[in-house]
Amino acid sequence: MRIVVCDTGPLLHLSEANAIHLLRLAGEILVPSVVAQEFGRNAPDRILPDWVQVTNLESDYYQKTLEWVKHVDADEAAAIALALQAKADWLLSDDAGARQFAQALGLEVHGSVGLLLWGAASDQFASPDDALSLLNALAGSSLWVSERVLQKAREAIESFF
Amino acid sequence: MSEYLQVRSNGQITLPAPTRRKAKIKEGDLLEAVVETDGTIRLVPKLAVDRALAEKYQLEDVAWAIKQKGKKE
Repeated sequence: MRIVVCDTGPLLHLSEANAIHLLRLAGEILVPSVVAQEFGRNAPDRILPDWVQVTNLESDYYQKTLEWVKHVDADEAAAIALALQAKADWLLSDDAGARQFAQALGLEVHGSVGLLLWGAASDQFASPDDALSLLNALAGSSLWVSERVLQKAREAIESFF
Repeated sequence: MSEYLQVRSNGQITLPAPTRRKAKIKEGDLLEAVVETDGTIRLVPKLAVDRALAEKYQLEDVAWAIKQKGKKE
């Protein structure tokens, strides 16, 4: 099964779009405790699903985060460290800076838009309308998505069905 | 619209109020200074930098998802 580590952004954005279940389809979801705490602070009315595994960082990896917080936020640093520790297949982040940093460390990183489109490409939606409706919900969440991306994403979804 | 800015001690410059208004720059905003090969310096508000990078990655994700179509899980 694919191992996927997530920072706070996709958890919040997908949750706001009522699409957090998409994460579960991607694989085994791991988050560091700081991400779980950050999610709780930012979305006090929402509960982290029980299939999200809150995982502790080993000492060596925790030490790395102390250095990395000069470049990325603490939850992002911890998620990057956990992705390396767990040898994750994917790291999910919607923060461009964190994504750049993680990619430089050799991680495969995708964001909420990528996950949604992966779901559509992997036949996880019954119809294009289901996927388009979630795309619109994501665009209405606190995630910034440009018009250009939305247009390309809509075209991609329509081509998948 | 162009204006002359004088470089003061420690390399400090002041962006005139009309420039700040026009570019919607507020106190505390971050600007990325990009030095071009011809010596031109461009000041790009950080929000614009972040959004350009975010869009680049989101477009990469669209292209990546298209490649996933038909792949076995």
